[in-house]
Amino acid sequence: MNAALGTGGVILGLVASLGAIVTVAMGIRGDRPELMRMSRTYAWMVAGGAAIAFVAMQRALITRDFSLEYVARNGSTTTPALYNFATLWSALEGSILLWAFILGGYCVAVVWKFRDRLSDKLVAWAMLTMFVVTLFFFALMTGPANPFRVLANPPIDGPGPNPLLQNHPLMAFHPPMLYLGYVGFTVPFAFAIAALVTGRLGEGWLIETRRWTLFAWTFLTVGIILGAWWSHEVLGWGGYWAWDPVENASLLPWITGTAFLHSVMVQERRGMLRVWNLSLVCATFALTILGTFLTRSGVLDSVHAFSDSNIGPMLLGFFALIVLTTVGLVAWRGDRLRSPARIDSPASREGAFLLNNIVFAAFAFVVLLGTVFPLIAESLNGEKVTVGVPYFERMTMPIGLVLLFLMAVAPVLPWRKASSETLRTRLLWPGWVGTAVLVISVLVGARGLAPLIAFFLAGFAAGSALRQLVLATRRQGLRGLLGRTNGGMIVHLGVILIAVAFAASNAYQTERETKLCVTAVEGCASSVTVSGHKVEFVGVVDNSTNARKETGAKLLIDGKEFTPAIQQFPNGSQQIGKPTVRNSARNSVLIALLDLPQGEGKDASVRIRVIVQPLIVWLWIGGAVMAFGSLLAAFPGKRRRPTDPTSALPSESPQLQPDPDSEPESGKDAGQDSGQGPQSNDLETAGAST
Amino acid sequence: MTGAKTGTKTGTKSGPAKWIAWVAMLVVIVVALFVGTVGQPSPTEAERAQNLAETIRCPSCKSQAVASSETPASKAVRELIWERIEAGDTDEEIRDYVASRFPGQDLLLDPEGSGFSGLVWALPVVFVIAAVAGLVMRFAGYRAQPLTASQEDKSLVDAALRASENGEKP
Amino acid sequence: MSTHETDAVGGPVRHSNAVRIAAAAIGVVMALFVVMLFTSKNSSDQPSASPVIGQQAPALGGKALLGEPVDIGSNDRWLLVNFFATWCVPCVKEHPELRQFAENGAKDGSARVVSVAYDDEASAVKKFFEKQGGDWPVLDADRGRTALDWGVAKVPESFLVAPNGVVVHRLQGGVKAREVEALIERYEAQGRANQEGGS
Repeated sequence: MNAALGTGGVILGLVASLGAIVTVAMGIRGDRPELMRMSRTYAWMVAGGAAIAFVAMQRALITRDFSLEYVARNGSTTTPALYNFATLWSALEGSILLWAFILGGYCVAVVWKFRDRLSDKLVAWAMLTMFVVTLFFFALMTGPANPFRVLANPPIDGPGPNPLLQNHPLMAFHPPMLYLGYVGFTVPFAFAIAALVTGRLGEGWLIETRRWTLFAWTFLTVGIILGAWWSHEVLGWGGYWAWDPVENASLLPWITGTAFLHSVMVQERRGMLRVWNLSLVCATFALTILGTFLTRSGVLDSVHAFSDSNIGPMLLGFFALIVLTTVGLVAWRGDRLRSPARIDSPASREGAFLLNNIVFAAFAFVVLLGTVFPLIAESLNGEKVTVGVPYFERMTMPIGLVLLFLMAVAPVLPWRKASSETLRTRLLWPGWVGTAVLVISVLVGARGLAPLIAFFLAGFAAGSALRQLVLATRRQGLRGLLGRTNGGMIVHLGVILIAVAFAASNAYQTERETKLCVTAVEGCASSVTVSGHKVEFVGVVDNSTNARKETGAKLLIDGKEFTPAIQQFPNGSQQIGKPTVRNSARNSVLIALLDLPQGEGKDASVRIRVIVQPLIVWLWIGGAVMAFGSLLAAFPGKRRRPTDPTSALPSESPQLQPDPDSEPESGKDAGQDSGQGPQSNDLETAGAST
Repeated sequence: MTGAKTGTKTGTKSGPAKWIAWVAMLVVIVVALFVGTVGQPSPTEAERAQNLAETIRCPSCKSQAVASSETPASKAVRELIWERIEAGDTDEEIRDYVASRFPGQDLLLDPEGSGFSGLVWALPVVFVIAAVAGLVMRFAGYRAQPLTASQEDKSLVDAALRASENGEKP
Repeated sequence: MSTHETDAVGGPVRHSNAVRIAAAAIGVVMALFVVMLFTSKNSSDQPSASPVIGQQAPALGGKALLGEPVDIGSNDRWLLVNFFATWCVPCVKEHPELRQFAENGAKDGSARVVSVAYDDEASAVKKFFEKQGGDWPVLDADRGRTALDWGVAKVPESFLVAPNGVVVHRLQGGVKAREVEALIERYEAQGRANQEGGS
């Protein structure tokens, strides 16, 4: 029943995608608006098919229908409800199903948003592209990643999902967030392809997809941060980012997406960087597919590769298709992509954005190279090489410092050209903020060149962001926090928090392994003090449920009770640690049990690892600030008629002869959504230049 | 530090007095960095062991370092590191010894800087240099053709000015 | 590729060519990249190179959990050193093959098996062998040291040791009795050929 329902959903999605491609293509070819408008019906059918399959799988999981191979391999009768729900994305086939489900949602959202313009060729081509993507994912589900394969002899119980995936509630939220991000980049990609095909390469497609990109980027950010949080809470090593292939795969589209969110402003304002922006959008989408390939096909080892499969060739083929299509289209349209403007001075807002993009490109290059280098070395040189944390940390540290520096300087730069006078006056205050942060860090005992420079630059950058926010709110009140520029500054503050927390927790971590006894005896104390935090062992507790065995050690951390434990799930004999973390604004105390507590009652003893890391909690707060900032950035800032060309506004002219008192977003511009370029209305003049 | 540099580099047309605040800031920064970096104790044996363990991959895991895994193989490597440190080996000797047990550089998390694996270090540097060079060349190209208003532009502006003086819309 | 186009101001358009050249270059690089990925092997079946091959086998210093300790190179039989764990699924799968190989080897006195339990409990190992069968010696991994000396990456992994105590082959992943026997035949034939060639 579940299998039939699910397979029906998948087939509906597949057929609808195919039908949509044929219909929309015929509509575009024959210039028949009624056919192009049918993409609305098809989008609902695709989404419906994915939803049916999703519901069928959830139903199978909830009713413990072990006749489905997926449920038999990943479900179990004892898995608690929340993790049972999350089992849907705990293995490959279910992840693809989740991907298709979210993609269906995006399709419906796009046809709803553009409901009046479905017969516009730009939108039609974008829909066509989206249906090709849905076709691919439904094809995966009918072929190598079929979630609804049936077992002839169903077992009475299954092993349940990987133990690591069912001992923290964050697992229920991290993957959907990440996928909302990954999949969301399909929309800007579809519009980029549409712009290339139709030749309407002005700023129109950018403006149409700006918020979609921001939306996807925000979810990707939240997903990555939740993943880091999960690692910190669950893995018990005090780590939250291990530069693992799976983590890198999620970081790569984030990097290119972030680069795009910056360079898009240059194109909207100045009409420059058209090829570059198109490439970034397409690269972002291609990297989501490449990342899925790298981590799901088994070519790379990863601690997170929870399943292996043979979907590799199809994913790789699809990646190749995306890259070749993009490259081919860009080459074909190269002549139309010529930018009408040029950069007047490197010391300008657009100059800073250019530099920012080079740094982000280098960042992406380092991460991609480090991730695939073992494969390159193996196939070109037959050499076994591993590239791990030390490499990534050493390579990305200077990149991070340069980015912090740019975050400090760029927000005060005006467009076109800055004078030394402008820089001197505008940067003074942020500079002192940075200096104050540096001095305070040294006074509280922070040592080492790299962390101190990071703290200084972070303060400097925070000063710049705050300066912009203060100026905007002084002029407009709380409304001054809205809009891309000012929301962006709040995102910067979040990034700065994360950078500081990252530097501090890496540089000043204290770790101690020790044995504690309930009753102190010779050579075994009942408490230990690490970095001023007292950890006292009180007793052993048994928190077993019928889903798993759990033996915990009741500990008092600075007087508050915590129970790190060791879990054992029925399917595997391997023990899974369940550490606890005591967070405070200043530092976090993480405690993991090294092995099962010995003895009982007053004679009990346990070996623990205590890790004290400063500022950890600011990583997660920084993530929340970033999400909040992007929410504010999605709201339009101060309104302006979209047809007003900004570059011709008289208020811009003072910036041509820099005036120390004029702000980068001065006058009428302050805090508004950075406006539309001169060709912003090319969508309205439908089909003008095909 | 870097911020101050940007300031001083871009010109002093308004006289040195205006830069006093920046110079003061630079002094404070240099003093703070000096206090914060000088007189660091050299790493203890435990720190050396920890640092080494962070650059060696746990043989039985995927990409975890032996410093952060509890597998018997990692424990064995950590013990080995201790033995070797006490025997007076250098960090490089210890790394080479551990790595020699496995094919290639499979166990080293940071590949060696020489040979083929040196590419992983060198390529990003080449990338950045090429990108910056490309950008500089573009800027240089722009500079060579200074922006001047053509005769056509000037007549357009004149026409617009005349029109606005006459109270018409341009 | 034409350069005679001109832009609005009348300057020559060099940009479009630059874009095309860049696109072509990136296309070529990406195509090579895809070809490389397409031909790269699955990481779990990499070639089984190992520095211990061709060397005298490292000692098996662990405690004997089942049977007697093994002294490598002291007998005239081939030895299959098998690293395994009771919690590892492929290990459970390969076990019948190991039994087959051990039985055949015992029958004609040509080969034997010794297992090294990797990250495991003695009680679990005993239970495992009671349930799955097999009566060859099982050692513990000497707190992981044995596995490190042999360069074991992940279980199951097996090493074929010639009667003279030299490691000749490394098998990653589960073994098949027939394949190991074929390997022994191959190495014996090679050895004979070498002897004849040398004499």
